[in-house]
Amino acid sequence: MAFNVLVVDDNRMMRSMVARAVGMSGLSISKTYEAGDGVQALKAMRSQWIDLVLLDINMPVMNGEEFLTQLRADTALSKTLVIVVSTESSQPRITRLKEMGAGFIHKPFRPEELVNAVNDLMAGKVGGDK
Amino acid sequence: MSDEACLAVIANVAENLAFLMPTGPAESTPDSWRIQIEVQWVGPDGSRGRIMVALDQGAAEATAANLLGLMPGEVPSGPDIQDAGNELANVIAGNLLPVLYGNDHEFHLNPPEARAPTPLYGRTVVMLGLWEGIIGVSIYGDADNTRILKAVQVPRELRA
Repeated sequence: MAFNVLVVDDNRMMRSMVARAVGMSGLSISKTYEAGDGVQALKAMRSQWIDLVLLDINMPVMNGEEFLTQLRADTALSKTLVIVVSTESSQPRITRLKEMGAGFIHKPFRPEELVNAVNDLMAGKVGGDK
Repeated sequence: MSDEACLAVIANVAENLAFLMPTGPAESTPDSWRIQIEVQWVGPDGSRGRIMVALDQGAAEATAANLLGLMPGEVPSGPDIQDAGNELANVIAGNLLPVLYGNDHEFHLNPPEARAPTPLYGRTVVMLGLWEGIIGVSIYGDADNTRILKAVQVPRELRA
């Protein structure tokens, strides 16, 4: 399966860096899209098929946690794989994100951590649809 | 938190986020900083503080070049250098706070903001030497961090 990936981060440099890490990860990637906040990300997801979202938390307009809440409430998009890529270290917040079905990678991260997080999510999705 | 622990956090971020090459504590202070970035934070019980990150010319250019994946000899633009510094500062701040205060409480980081470069000062100032240049970081907390330390009950030996 080749993934369409959406990188959501308010810093364009970080989007570029995460996109390069995706490329270095060895994952099969079809196309990488970018969005600067949660609103842009939802708009992109309603016009493009996205398999995997790599999501920052601290963003203007709509932060990552708000985005994830809206995503999970949208029946068409709710089962999309999401990995939070953040400096966040607060265990209560990380627990909330994981309860919403998201994987978590702490910045800075190595490409192999991304692969492991995707594999973990896929393993939890056995028999599931997008 | 000891200066050594701070330096270890900064070195980890520099190496793994920006692909810089840390060499240990800087042996001198740069004549001037190329960019300086402030990240303010709010924590439990209304505690707050700020972390200032400064990069000299070499560190600033290398951070931007590495994050952008530029080829050797290509020089990043001024806006690219600032954007890269902002992200480096954001990640340094996000990694320092749990080491300072533990993982059990939520901290909100404000977006990084550029500041006019000035000499760093504060209770904790550390300088990391890099093969490419120097990163300086100063850490400020309100009221000597007494509210936050009371709120998160960090063991005395780990307090900043």
